[in-house]
Amino acid sequence: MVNDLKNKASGPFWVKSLILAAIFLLFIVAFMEVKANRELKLARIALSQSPKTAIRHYFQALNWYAPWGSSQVAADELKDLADRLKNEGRVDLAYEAYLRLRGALNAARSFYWPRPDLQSKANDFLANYLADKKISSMGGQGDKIRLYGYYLEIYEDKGNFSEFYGFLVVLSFLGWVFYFVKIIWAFFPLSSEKVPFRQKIYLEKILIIMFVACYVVWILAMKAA
Amino acid sequence: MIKNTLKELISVNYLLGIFSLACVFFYVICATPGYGWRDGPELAVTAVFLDVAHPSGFPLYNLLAKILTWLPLGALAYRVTLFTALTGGAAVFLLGLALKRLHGLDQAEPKYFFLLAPLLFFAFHQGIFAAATEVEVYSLNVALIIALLLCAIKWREGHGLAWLYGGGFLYGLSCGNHASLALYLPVLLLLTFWTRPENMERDNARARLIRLSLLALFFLVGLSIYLFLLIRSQTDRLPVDFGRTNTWVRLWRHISDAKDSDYHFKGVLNYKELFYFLKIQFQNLSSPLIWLALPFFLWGLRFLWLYYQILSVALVVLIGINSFFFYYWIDGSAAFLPTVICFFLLTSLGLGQFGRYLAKYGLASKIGFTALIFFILAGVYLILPQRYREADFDAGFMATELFWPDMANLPPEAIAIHRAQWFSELALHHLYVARPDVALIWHASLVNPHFFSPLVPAKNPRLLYPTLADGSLLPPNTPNFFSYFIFLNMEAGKPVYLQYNDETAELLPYMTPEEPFMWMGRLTLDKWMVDKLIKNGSYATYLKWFRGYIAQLAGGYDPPLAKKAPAYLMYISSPIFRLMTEKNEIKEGILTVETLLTTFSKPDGTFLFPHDVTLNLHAFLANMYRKEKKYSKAIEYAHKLNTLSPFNAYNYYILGLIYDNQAMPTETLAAWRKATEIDKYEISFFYNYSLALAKYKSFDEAISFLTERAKTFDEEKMGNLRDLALKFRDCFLLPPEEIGELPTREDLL
Repeated sequence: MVNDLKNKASGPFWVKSLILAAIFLLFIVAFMEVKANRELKLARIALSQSPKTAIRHYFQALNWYAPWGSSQVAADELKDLADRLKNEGRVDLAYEAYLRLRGALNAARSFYWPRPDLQSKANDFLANYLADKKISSMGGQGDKIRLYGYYLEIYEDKGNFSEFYGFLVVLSFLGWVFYFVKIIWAFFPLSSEKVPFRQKIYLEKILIIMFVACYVVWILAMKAA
Repeated sequence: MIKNTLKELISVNYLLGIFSLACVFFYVICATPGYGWRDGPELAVTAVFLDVAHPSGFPLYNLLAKILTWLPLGALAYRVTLFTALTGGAAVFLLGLALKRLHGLDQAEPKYFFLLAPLLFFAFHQGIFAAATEVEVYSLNVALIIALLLCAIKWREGHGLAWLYGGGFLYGLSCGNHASLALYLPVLLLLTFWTRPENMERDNARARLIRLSLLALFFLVGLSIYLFLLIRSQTDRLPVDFGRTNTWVRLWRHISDAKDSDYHFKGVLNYKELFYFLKIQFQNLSSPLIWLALPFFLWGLRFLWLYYQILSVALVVLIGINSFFFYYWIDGSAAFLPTVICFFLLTSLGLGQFGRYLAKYGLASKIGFTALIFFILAGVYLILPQRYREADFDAGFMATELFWPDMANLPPEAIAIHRAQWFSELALHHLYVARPDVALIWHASLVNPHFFSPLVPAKNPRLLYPTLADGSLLPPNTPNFFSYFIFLNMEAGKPVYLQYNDETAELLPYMTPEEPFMWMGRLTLDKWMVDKLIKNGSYATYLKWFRGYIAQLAGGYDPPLAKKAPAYLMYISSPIFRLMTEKNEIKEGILTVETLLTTFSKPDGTFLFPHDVTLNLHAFLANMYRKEKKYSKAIEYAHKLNTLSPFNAYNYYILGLIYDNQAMPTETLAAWRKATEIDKYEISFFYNYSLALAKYKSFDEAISFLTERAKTFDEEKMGNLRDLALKFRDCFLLPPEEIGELPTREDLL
């Protein structure tokens, strides 16, 4: 019985790894949701008394970003708050709300940029705000459209790092490490069976080719990323 | 029956796996949600953009941490922290495996408890815990060291040459995580070159040499991971390119830490202090449990000596190297993690032997359970509440929160100068992303521009070049002269302009009130910045905030804040004290510091502060009493300082100042002479001693002393040529107007 149980428990390595990864992810998701939810509640409590505090808590809820759950609600509510403040004429506070909304969403990016709808709205407001400020600091002089365009371009700049090549860098790195380890184990097995070196190279040519290929891709991808 | 079935089913590996996973969960719960302190923000950025971090660059960490940054959960920095937590769990698991092999455990036994108890303490040891709960390279480093030990054990047990060469390859990769691992080469050689596997029948010098050559080859393949720095820097578009490693020479300087080698290894130069600092280190680490563990540590060492002699020697050598190279870093518990590994490994072995001894009398099971429960309770009571000051328990997104409000409140089109502390880099990055209207200068690029690339990408028109008062434009990579000219312009009352797009703007320094700028005295523009801060009225804000902070600490009504306060103070105290000194608010300064020392003193007369901070506070008091002309008090504190740190040149420097103020030539000269003898690199000590010579003896003697000492100066190592020039100008009594011409090295010599 014990052996049966043991056999069931010991599946292939990748299955065990997947199970472990799933447990880890589940834990992270649950933990982050609890945190985001707590911040969201605090933000709602602070909403009527101090919008500034509410903005801070919404921002912290957004720092526990997940593609679903409380952080999404926080993003929408923070945008609503920013709009409300803007309509009430409290432009500076609205500015802070949009700054934090944009900052938190930017910090939550991975292989995609989350909530492009909110980001573009925030960018639009921020560029407008800065253009107005600039014009007022110049005594009402200045080309609003040019300034707005100038700021918007910078806000919408997503940097020059290529996530695709970044992915290739990491993948090829893991690849050459993996194949090199395989080569070591292939060339120095525990068995005492002697195979001539040249024959060994021929036998393990796939491993060697893969190692070299991954190494080359690693170098090239680092240049391109 | 169920008990027996469970015992059989739960193998050591599963038990270790469950325990390690639990550790990971605990690390995740306690992990800093923001960027943390020190290098965290920088490493988070370098992992996200695959950039070049500070020496030695940490390419392995960046490449592995990058994987977690694709996880669409949480903020980017938090994902990198998750990676760190995972490596912490891996370190615990690997140490468990190593212990299992050394204990010879392959099925459930009561001895597990003797294995798990030290493992529990290892997992929650202050250094390991701190390293696993913030963005740092150390927990990966610990995991790699243990993995290397495991490879050596497997090779010695006769599992084949692959383990030896795999270990060599892993060692190369590991040096790519933290180059300090290269220091442990003698340990690796002991474990490989001088070790013969159990099943190897014949071994001779030739075979060993061949093994060593192949080992070196595989090591080099692993070490080639450093090409990452060279190639990434050559792309010339990194947000953070610390060291600009775009040439082989720069790469080597970066990896070998040439820029800061004097500072990082100054402890090695002062080898006489070794035992003193080891004592301090042990005091810092000690708790009743450490004393309790000491006999088991020795028992474990004895057991290992009998079972695997070379490994026991190797571990002792590892502790020795670790202590010798890092003993000066008395607060850097992370620097001592290799020693921590050895300590827990050997203690666990000792406990295992104890378990075996008890098993003879059929007591192991009961005592094992009791011991485990005792250890857990004692650990919770003694360690958890007081040791984890580094972790941000209150989930305040600390670093982000510090910077954000000030960034948001910067006036439009402001020009911001930020300090060189490298986590400001991320603040600048945030600022850049969030406030494109604000022009940025990274203070470090002012002081040491040859080490850094501009923060703002070159394609961006906001790349800043300082324009001198005469309108000429300074080229960007001008070592040190950059800050030198700005300083001179400011000093002369000339406005300094910054080129901003196609416009120019006057330099308006802006400092964030809470910005923790330590290393205050080390950088060129400090005094100028403090002056500006006072003139701009920020001082009042600063002081108000600081008073409130001290009141909170003294009142103790904010436990989370008070808990991390001693470490936190390290970052905030120096600018405040500096400002108090500048404003001549001596009484308030003395009162504040004495309150702090009383609040954070321990019954045994030591303090809760990190050792550095304790020294700083005593030095501050000695200086303040000197300014108050209460010389007996000043000397009392200077002597206390000497008791706390007897080999510190700065103590003698302060003592000299006190004697000098009282016009006591013999004592002044003796104290300052001693300072120059202890620290052969600090210019201000030479400067003061030479001035005292000129004042109390003869000008010729001063010149002769300086000329002699100037020959030992290495321009690269000294770094700050401007400082040197200013000091020499004063020493040689040059008229102030001649400061415009910076003397060359030849002139000085």
